[in-house]
Amino acid sequence: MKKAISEHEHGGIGQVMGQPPAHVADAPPVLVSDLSVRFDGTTALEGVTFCISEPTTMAVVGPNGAGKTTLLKVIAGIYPPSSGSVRVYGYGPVSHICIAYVPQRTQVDWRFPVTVADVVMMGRVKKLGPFRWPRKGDWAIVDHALDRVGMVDLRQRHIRALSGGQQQRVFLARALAQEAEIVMLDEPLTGLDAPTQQAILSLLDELRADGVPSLVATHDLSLASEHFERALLLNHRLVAEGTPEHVFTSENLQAAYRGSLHIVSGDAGPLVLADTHCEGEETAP
Amino acid sequence: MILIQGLLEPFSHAFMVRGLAAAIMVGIVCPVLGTYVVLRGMAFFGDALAHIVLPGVVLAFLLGWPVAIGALAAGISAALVIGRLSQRGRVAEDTAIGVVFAGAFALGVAMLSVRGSYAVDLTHILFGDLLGVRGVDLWLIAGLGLGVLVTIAAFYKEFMVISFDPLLATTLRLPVTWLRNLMLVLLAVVIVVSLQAVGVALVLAMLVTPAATATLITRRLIWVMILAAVIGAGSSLAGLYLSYYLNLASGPAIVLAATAVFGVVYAVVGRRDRTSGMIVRSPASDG
Repeated sequence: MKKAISEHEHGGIGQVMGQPPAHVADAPPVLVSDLSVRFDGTTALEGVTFCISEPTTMAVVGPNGAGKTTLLKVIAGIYPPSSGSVRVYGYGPVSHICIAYVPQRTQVDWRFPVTVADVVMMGRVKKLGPFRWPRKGDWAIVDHALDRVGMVDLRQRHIRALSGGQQQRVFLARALAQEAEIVMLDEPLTGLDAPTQQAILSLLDELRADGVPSLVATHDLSLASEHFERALLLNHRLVAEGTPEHVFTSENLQAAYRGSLHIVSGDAGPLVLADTHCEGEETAP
Repeated sequence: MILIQGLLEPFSHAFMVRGLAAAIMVGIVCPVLGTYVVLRGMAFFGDALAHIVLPGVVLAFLLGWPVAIGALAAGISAALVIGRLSQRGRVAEDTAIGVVFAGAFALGVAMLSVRGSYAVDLTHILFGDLLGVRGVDLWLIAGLGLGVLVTIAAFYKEFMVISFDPLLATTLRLPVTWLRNLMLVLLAVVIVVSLQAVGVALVLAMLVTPAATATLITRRLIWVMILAAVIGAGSSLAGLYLSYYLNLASGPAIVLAATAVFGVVYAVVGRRDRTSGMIVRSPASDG
């Protein structure tokens, strides 16, 4: 699979149908350079540049409509960049089959007739190849993935009969079965109670320990600042990127959220009050 | 003995045996593909496609060609054109389909109306002519139907992924557009196969009703397909008896049988869920 990187840029049919390319030695997991994405004249992302140089957990934070989902989808190779470039382990995203994208729970048809094990098996469809049905060994991989997220006992359960946290863990197991080398999760923590959120976050830490970085879109600033190694603050443009202490300064937050954020100085440092569900035109104090 | 005699009597006629064979094959193939139609919310598309094949059917009929060839050509090209239109159109997808669907149907009816036997011909095309099935038709239905089933078996898991989670299909770099077009071509083929059994106007029922019934009962895709095929074949058999003894048109009788099964299952499942106190959790709630 020794090919020039430029050949992989647009992922021709040969690479799409074939096995994934070997990684470029020492290439960073994610390298985004001057990325812009436009849809029908509206700009979702503009001039975004950052690098994830080693396995980590990164929170992608910003107000509603800031382009968080778009950023994850471009890195996953679901949308093409309008300009700029995205490299995942040195190659364009569309030449990888090892990028897992976990959709928002509201985007999934939970009435679809599949069991927990069926959903996880879907992560293996490409590795199985056409014309083949899963065999014993494939189901063993599925069970192993479910075991890692603590869901193996529910393997025959229909996905509708799961709690929100269990649904999220099924999709994480699917990423494991996919042998994902990087995982994107869109709002995985929304609507979950604190212990369930903690369970998901621990799984992301385990993934990182295994060398798998994760990018997590969230609008929860406190979770982002307390539970992630890195944070990326977005509002169409990149506002700040780095460790949470470095990113979540009042200056950066004001720049990202503009009117929809209040910063109050309290005894234990600045207190941030954000209302990211509301696109109101409040003025900052 | 009288019962057995009553059950066997209709099939002492060769045309009834051929009709039954055709109806059962259609009753199996339609619901298997129809399962994807139901799960992907393509019911309107399927109905439109069934009507769009009409000009092709009529043209072949007027020229004295095999009807299936005209229908296949019209159906496959329409499926691919609409698939393309709906992806990047200036009008909404259902509007585009509606315009093409109604226009093509009118064209087919207008073409047919130049003939003297207009009313009879139109009735056969709209509602099927099961008792007029010839031996050669049976071979055509069997061959095309088997081809559809084999294709679905070959791409079962890929079709499942593009139906359940198209984004996963993209990140797995499956050929999504190619798979979607393949499914549309299969739909066109199935519609052609079903024309003689249930006709243009009622194909939708065989695609949607048995599969919808099966989704109420079982929770795995493969079982939905198998159960839908059993319901479809059973409806075909029951419909033919209804047709024979009550002197009903066979296509509508088959569809009525399938609809009755749906109604009963819907009522029973609804009652079971209420009495067992089974609470289906919404994904938004958490525990």
